[in-house]
Amino acid sequence: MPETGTELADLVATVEELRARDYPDLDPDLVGDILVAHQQFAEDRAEARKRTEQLINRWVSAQPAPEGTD
Amino acid sequence: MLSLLRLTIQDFGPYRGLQEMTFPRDHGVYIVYGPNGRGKTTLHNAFRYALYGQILGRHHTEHARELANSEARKQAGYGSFETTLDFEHDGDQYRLVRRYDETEQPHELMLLERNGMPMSQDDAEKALQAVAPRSVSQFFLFDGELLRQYENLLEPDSEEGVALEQAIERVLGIPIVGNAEADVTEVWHQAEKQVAEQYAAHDATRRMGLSLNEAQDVRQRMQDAHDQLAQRIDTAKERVAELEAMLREQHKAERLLGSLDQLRTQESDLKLREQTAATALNELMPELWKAVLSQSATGRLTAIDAEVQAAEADLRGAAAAARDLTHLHHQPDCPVCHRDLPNDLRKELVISLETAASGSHHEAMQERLAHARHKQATLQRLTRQDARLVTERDRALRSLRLERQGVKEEIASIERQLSEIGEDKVRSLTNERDERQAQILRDKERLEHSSIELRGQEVDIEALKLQLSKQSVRPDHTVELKDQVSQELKGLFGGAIDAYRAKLRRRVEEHASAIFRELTDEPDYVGLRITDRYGLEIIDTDGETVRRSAGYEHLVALSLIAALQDSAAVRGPVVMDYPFGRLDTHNTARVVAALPRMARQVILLSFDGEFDRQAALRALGSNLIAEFELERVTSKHTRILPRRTI
Repeated sequence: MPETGTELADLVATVEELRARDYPDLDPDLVGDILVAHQQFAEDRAEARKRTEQLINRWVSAQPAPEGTD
Repeated sequence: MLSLLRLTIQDFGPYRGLQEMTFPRDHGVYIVYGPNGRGKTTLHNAFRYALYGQILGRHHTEHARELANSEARKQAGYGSFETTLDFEHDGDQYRLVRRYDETEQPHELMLLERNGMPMSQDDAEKALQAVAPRSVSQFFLFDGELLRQYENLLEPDSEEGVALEQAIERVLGIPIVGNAEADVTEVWHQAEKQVAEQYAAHDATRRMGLSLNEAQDVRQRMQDAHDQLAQRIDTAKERVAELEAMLREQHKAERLLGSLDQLRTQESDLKLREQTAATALNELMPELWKAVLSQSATGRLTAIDAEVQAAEADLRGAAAAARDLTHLHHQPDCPVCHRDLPNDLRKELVISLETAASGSHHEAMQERLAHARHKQATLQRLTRQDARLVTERDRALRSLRLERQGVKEEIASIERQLSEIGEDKVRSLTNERDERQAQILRDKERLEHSSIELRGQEVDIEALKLQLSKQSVRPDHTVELKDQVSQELKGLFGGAIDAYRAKLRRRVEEHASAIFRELTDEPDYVGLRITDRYGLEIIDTDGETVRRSAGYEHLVALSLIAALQDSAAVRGPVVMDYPFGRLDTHNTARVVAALPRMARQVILLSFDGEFDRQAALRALGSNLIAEFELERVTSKHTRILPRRTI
């Protein structure tokens, strides 16, 4: 999980608890980064939306291709 | 967390010229004292304008031009004002300058510096949205009179309560998860769409791929209509909350009327006292010339007193000479020592006494004494005219006139506020509120129907996807991964909202209860219980809900605000105007003592006599950082002065 201010720490901890239990394969850093972006741009929905997509795209690109594919 | 360092204002409302308030510590209480009409609400607005560029009137948002100092406007020929707020947030130093200027045409500008570096307008807006979001400003800048709105949280049908509930969730950060869910859902839908297109590109899966694509388009259209409807409901709810807030001003009008009656009685009493003082001063006027002469008369009286004493001594000497002469004519001895006197000595004594004992000498002495006594009496009358009395009466009259002028200004201010609340306006506000509420009800029904349809469409899409997954054709790995991860993120954030909400609700309840117990001395009230909508009920020792008074309503609202501050996703200073409106002296003292727990930095706008200052100083101790006072220069010019800094 990324470093977060005290104001967001509790929210991130709650989400992490659920992630570890229900979605263990989800990357906790990706989850935390999305939440931080939404806190930072809480009043700018378009920016938050753009950053969310960027974060997911970046994460997907960083994943190794499964064996047997190019 | 946002911490204030300094607020500088120039020509803002009655704050003429450049004036500032500094906040040397990032935690503790700052108190500003100012009587009615001296500019406390304007100062509250100065904080609001400095942070958000917004000014709130008693009933609505006001235009900036209304806050330009009128004396400065008259002098310069145009209105302008400026606010500068220095603050710190997460280790960075910011300076936020906002300026309103009518030099050519009215315009406003905003400049933000971070660590001494100016930021672009776009970056500045974004930074401010993160540091001090406008949507939760009501928890940082609040008018105590408006705390009544928190009662609406206990009313199941109150739209104002719904709006407040949403604001509470915003300050607690719940929309962070909700918005994250909405955004990952959108990403997921896009990825799904790409997957469908890739299936449609293969002969083996073309038909099913196209069907999936079509089903997704339908869902998108349904989703757009659903969002539009939800947005319309939110807008209508905000408007209803606004209308209810305006209608609540009626209660404020009643309070204003009470104050107005009190002030009018006070003004009439001052008028009588002023008349009495003027009469007392006028009584001294005919004799005023004597008062002017009294100082020189005092000097001369000393000389005349000596002259009277000398004349009296001489007259006593003449009487003694006459008595001694008679004695010498009839007795053989000395009139003083009663020894025998030789004849030659007797003759010598008789000759020397004859002049002093003569009738003419006695008369002359009497006349001299009478003359001196007359002058003495005249001068004594003059010296009794004390000029200090005139000065005292004049000062008393001036002070009464000044006091009466102050009361008259307060009356005028209240009358202005009352004139803004008209009966017709109330009727039109009520009608609009009723219409909007009816519209909300209709839209809610449509929204429910739309949600059911959307869920049905989702089921169809999932069924198609399941069929496609059984085919040999595989979509691109990255697209499939994006589809999968964004779907999981949607599920995670969706589930987290309720978990986080429940956790926060428990915490708010605990903190609010702890603060409430500090604020009340009723041992039977053991705490507060939170409702689904963040309403707080008082619980007694039997675990039963207590029917609360207006004063307790106020204490509960303050407890909630303090608890929200403690659990908020956005934290900052609290600036309170009129926070004790409905509390008695005892509860007011307890709230003052608990101020340090309301937020890290608390700025309280109050007036002398609203609470016992000495008791407050003792209760706050080192938590009280500084006191300021608002000093009247003229009715359009108020000065902020430091009263005490610790």
